[in-house]
Amino acid sequence: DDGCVAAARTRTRTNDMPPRAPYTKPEVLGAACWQTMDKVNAELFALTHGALVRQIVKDCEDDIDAANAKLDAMGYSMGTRMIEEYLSRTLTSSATPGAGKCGTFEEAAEAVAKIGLRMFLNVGARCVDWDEERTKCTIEMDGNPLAMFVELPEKYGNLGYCNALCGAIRGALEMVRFRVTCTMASDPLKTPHVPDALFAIRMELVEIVPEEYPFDE
Amino acid sequence: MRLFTFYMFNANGECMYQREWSRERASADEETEHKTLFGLFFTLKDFAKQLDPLGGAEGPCNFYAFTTNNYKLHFFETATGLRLLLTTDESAGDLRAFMKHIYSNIYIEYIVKNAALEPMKPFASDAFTAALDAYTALL
Repeated sequence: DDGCVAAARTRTRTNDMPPRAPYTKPEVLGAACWQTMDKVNAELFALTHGALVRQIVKDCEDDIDAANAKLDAMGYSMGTRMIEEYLSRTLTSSATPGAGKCGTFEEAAEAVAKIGLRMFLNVGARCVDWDEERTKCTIEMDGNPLAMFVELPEKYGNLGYCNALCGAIRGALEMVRFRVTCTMASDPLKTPHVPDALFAIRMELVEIVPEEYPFDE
Repeated sequence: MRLFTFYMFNANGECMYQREWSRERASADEETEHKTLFGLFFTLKDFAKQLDPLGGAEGPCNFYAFTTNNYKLHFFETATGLRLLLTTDESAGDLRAFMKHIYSNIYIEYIVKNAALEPMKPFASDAFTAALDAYTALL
């Protein structure tokens, strides 16, 4: 792997569009979008995130619950911005389910797993463990650049190190009218003794917010 | 091709940003005008979908412009409820790619990626205005 993750830049830059196609498989679209993103060194990213988490824990004076909440809020704020970039880059491939508007929670979850995670973090993921009504699923990730070099000491055993990721997904989906809960179903950082554990996010639909005319008349 | 006005609305109907390059008719009460514009887009989108003779068989119906003898009004909407409206003279062609460029390369780069600005809220940004003017001057 080229060891890079996508980064946000604050200067103007020509937006390279992914190749126009009537329909591409979500995985292909995700990989194509990844190619066009601005990238930053993965190790730098992981270390910066680690320093940030460490600082948050220190600021919360080792109150792990507060730190977890703060990380989730941070992620949420990022997610509300990332959704626009996601929409902008996937809009050209409008026939792919998940590009542009998602009709169902199932489409949205698949889009997060196959397009979103690939596009921003260059990780492959898939949706598993669906319930009968298709309103809950688990996103299994092949790796997690955020957790590179990370070992949780015992006193921080409850730290939701990946909470920012959960928050980001939640924030992004809320901007497109899907209210969901996102938690880490499986966190190898908390269970280092379990071999071959994967990072997995449990996502459950709370409601699809209907589009309403905002004025009274 | 002349550009007259440009508006951006969020899903709550708030006018996030507006720019006027040339307009001869003075606007009435601004708040009313914003509500009217927002309502217009909202209703027309619905009408267009209902009147679609193909009944959505060829995919979702997306309303993107209307033309009168004096001007043309262009729409662009995203899944986040962000709405861009642009009025130009009637000689304008299909400006969907143009609107998309404003969204992707100007709005996202200058406003979304600006950590100091809250997403989907009214904003004022000289950098955004400058970039918008520079891009529209290319037309």
